[in-house]
Amino acid sequence: MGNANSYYSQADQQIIDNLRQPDGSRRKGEDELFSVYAYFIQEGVRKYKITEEDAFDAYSDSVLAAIEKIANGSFEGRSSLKTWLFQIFQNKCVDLLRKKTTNKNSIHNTVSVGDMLFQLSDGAKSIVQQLVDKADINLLRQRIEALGEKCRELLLLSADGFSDKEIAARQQYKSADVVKTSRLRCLDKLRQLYKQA
Amino acid sequence: MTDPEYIDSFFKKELPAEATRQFEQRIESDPAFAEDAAFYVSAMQTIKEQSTEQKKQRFREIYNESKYHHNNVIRMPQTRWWPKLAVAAVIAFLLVGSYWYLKPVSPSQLATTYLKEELTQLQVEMDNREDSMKTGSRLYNQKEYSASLKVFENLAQSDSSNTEAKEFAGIVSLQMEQYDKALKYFEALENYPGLQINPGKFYKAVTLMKRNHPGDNALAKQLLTEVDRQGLAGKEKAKEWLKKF
Repeated sequence: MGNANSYYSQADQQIIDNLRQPDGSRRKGEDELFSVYAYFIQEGVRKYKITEEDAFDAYSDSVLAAIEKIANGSFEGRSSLKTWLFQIFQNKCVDLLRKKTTNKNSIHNTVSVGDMLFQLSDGAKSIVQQLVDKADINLLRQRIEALGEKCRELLLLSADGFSDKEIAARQQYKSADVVKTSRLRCLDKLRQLYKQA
Repeated sequence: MTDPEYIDSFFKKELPAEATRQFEQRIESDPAFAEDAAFYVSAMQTIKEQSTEQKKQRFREIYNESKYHHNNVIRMPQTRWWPKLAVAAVIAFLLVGSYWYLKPVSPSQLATTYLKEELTQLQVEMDNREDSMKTGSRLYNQKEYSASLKVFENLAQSDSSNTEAKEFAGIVSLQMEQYDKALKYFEALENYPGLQINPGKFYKAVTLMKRNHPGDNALAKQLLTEVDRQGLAGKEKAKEWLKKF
C-alpha cells in the first residue's frame, strides 16, 4: 500500500492511498480522481464526436472501473494514473460507439451478473443465470430501500468490495465476525421482504 | 435462505476446491438451493448497481460545478437597481442572438470554425515514451505544419496499417489547405477495413466544405448524410450541419 512509483506523481499517490483506505478517505479519493481528470470529457467529445452526456457516462464508468482496480490492488502502477485512466476512457468511448452503431444500447431491466457467475461451472452457471433473469429487479430495489439505513449501508459496503474486517474498522463493529453475522442477517431480511410480495 | 453463510463463502471465494465442486453439484441437483444462490447474486448485484448510481450522481454534481461543464459561466451579481435596464439588455441579447443564430452560415464557414475550434490541437499521450506520433503531434500543436506532415507521411508510408498516421496526415494537409492531399488520406482512412471508429468519411466532408469548389458542397452533404445514417464517427456534428445546409 502506498508504494512510491516513478510513473505517478505525489498527487496521484495521495489519491491511490485514499482509495485504498477503508475509512472515509476512500470517498475523498473517488471524488478527487473524478475531478482531476474531468477534462477528459471534453477530449472525448472532440475526439470521438460524441455528446457531452455520453462522454460524461463513459468517463464516470472509467473512473468507477479504475477505483475498483485500485481498491482491490489489481492496478499495477506500470503507467501514470492519467495514462491508465485515459486508456480505460478511450475503450469505454469505443464501446459506446460500437453499441450505438449496432443499436444494442436498449435498456434492459436486468442485472449484470457476469463477474459473480464467472466462478461457477457452465452447468451451474446456466441454472443460476436463468433464475437471476426471472428476478423482479424493481421489487428488489424497493425492498432494499425498505431494509433500513444500517442494513443497507452494510450491504452496500460489502457489494463495493470491502472485506468484513475493513467494514468492522470503518463502521466500528467489534469484529469481522460480527459484521459477517449482521450482514447475512440483513440479506436474509431482504429475502423475506422480497418473498412477501 | 437455506445456508447463507455457505453461499456467501462461495461467492467470496473462501471455499476450498472440493467444497466448490460440491457447491456447484448442489446447484444442479437442489432447485431450492439454486434459488437461494440466485437470490444472493441478484441482491448483491442490485445493491452494487445502486452504489454505482449513487457515485455517478455525486460525480454529476462535481462535474456540473466544474469549469469543464459547458454551461458554467461566471455569474454577475444581481443588479436590483437596474431591473428595466436588465430586461432591455436581455431583449437586445435575444434579438442579436437570434439574428446570429438564424443568419445563414456557409458550409465553408462551418468547416473553418470546426478547424479552428476542434482541430488546432492533437492529443499527445502523457507517458514517458517518445515516438514519432508524439513528435508529429507536438509539431502540429506548435503550428509547424510542414515538419509535422513529413513525420506523419513517413509513418503512413512505412506502415500502411497505421490509420492514426493517415488521419493526422490528412488533418495537417487540411490545415495547410492542401485539400487534394487531405482527401487522399481521408479516403484511405475511410476505406481501411475493420476500424471500430472511422472518421474518414466525416473528415472528407469537412475537407470538401472547406475547399468549396463547384459540386463540393453537394458531395459533402451526401457524405454527412451517410455519416448520420450509418452512425459513423462525427454523427452528432453531421446532424447539426445538415440542418444548416
